[in-house]
Amino acid sequence: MSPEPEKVIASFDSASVLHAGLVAALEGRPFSNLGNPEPLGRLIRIATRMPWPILREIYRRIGGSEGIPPDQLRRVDMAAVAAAFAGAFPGRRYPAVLIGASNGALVHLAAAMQIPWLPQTVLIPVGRTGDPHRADQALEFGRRWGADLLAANPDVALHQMHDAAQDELMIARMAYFRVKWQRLPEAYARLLTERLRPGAPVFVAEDRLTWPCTRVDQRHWFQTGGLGGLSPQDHLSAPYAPEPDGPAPEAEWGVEPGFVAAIKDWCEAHDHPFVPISYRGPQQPAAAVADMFRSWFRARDERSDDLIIPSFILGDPWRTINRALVPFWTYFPVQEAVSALDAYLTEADPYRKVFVLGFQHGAESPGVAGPEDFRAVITRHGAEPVLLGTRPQDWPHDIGSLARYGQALDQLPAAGRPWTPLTADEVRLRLTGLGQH
Amino acid sequence: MAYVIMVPGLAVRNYLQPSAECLRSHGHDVDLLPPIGWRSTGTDLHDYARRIADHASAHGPADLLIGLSIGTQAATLAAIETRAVRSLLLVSPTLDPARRSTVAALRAWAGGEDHPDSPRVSLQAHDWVNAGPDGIYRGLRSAITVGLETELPRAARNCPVTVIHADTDLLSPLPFALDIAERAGARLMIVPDAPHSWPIGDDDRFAGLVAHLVSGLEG
Repeated sequence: MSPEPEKVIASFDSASVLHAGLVAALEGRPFSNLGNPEPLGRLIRIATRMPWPILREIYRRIGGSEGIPPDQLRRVDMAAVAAAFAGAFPGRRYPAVLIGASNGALVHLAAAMQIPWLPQTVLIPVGRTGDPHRADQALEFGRRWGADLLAANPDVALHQMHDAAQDELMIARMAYFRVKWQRLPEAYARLLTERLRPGAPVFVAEDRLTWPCTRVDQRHWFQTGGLGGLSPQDHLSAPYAPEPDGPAPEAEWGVEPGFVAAIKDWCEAHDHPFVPISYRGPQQPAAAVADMFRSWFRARDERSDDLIIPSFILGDPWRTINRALVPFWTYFPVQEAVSALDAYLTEADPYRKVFVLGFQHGAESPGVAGPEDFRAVITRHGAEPVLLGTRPQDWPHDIGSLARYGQALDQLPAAGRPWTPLTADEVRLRLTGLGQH
Repeated sequence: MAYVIMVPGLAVRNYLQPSAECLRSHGHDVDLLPPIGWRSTGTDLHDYARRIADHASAHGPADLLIGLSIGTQAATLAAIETRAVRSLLLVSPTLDPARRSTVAALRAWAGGEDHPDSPRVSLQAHDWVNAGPDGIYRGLRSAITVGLETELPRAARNCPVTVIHADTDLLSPLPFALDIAERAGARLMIVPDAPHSWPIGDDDRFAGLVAHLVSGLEG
């Protein structure tokens, strides 16, 4: 028997948490504590009063305990994982579907449209104790066990990711097996067939970001490092980094071209418009989505001068819309994201306040952006910066913020005007702006 | 100004008096009907709906028939029965398929609402006396047999429909509101910072919405 999907897929990953946040928004629910029950949220808030060195060890052990034993990889059923993702959405007909790369900005857009998003890439954490700075050993581990996963799942590719800069705490106790579907899983095709209105468009989040990777096998890549903070070259120049063979879709954000082609084929065969949203790197759609939200608010005379910066998995699309907050999602609190915010604020009409949600990954990694970086940019553009649910003195290891942001959002004033979900036609009209910022 | 009929939820009406007064103060002619479940109105939803249709025919046509909670089901059946309804507004529509058993419906109802504007139990209790437990139970049983997903498209053939979902509503789920709106080709609107019992405590937005819907009829 295969392990249940929720025991296979990481609960702290971009795909699983962004997906859960969207499910909440489609059910009309807020998304507190990253979807965890309130008693756990309370426990986290209390626990974070402990000194960081103790907390760090707890964080590492709890996170590490998520990894499945490697000898179970041959029993992992990715079709069941796809069915769990597709089955989580309310059972009704939809005016469109979003499918493809993980992207917090596009997930906010899907919430505004009240449409599902089916992720292309998921993370399977695999239990492994090792030196985070020995990428070569991680690769050998992947070579030994990745074949089991791939043999049991002929429709997927494995992109093992080893980022000693940003995931240092976690990769000491697990290997990151990022798995990408190369074809349309049956459960996704079933949702498209049964839940999509006739003629409804299929939006495809097509992140073309690549990374120099080491090919381990036909469907198996090893990626040293990850996006944010350091360049691929910085990661690859570290000791023990394996030699790359060539570019492959970036492990967390990039999309397999074969998957996009499979969706296109499905759309052509079933008379649904195929609408690719093509961009390079997860940060790129944020500005266009923010603009779209702002226009949407303005069209109904809603206030539109409060910006929120959701960060990686930290955010709540339902509350964001119902508090009239324009979202500018950032993929991680790193300098590149701050620069993107700076560029957006330079172009945009002035905002009154900017609420910052800073994801806390617990490491002083290279290129990490601190609260002062966000404050400086926001202030320079004439807005008032407000840290939401995060203690600046504890950044970047204020783990309690994961359980505080919901309450903090509840303290903000509600939107004033009733709203109607964004239509697929409106989004298609404005899609031309995506990727141009 | 418009002629508006308001159909309240199961066995309650007092909480809507201020909203009706608000519309009157804006110049509308408003009939706030007694609810299903009261001894004076009975507990059969179809009978109740027929009387609403008769009322609209006799006094109308109604520019706007507003159903609230279980009143949405009665208002929908009434709009199928008569052409004397020019526009239908459903606020917090019930009962979604998951709540179509007495236990599930009562559990959802007992779960109450978690919003500062939600009506106080003392206010509702005064109305419940007019129904008694039997009236509430039978009214609920009757409502369980009516599915808006099949009835609303029929009503929408007669008049334009708007469906309202309150963002903090714990009783009427958003997917159900979206689903019935989609099936009927109705417009769905989500009201931020609002409870299931909207428009309680929210006169300005309610009056604004009614003015907007009525002005659409004039065009």
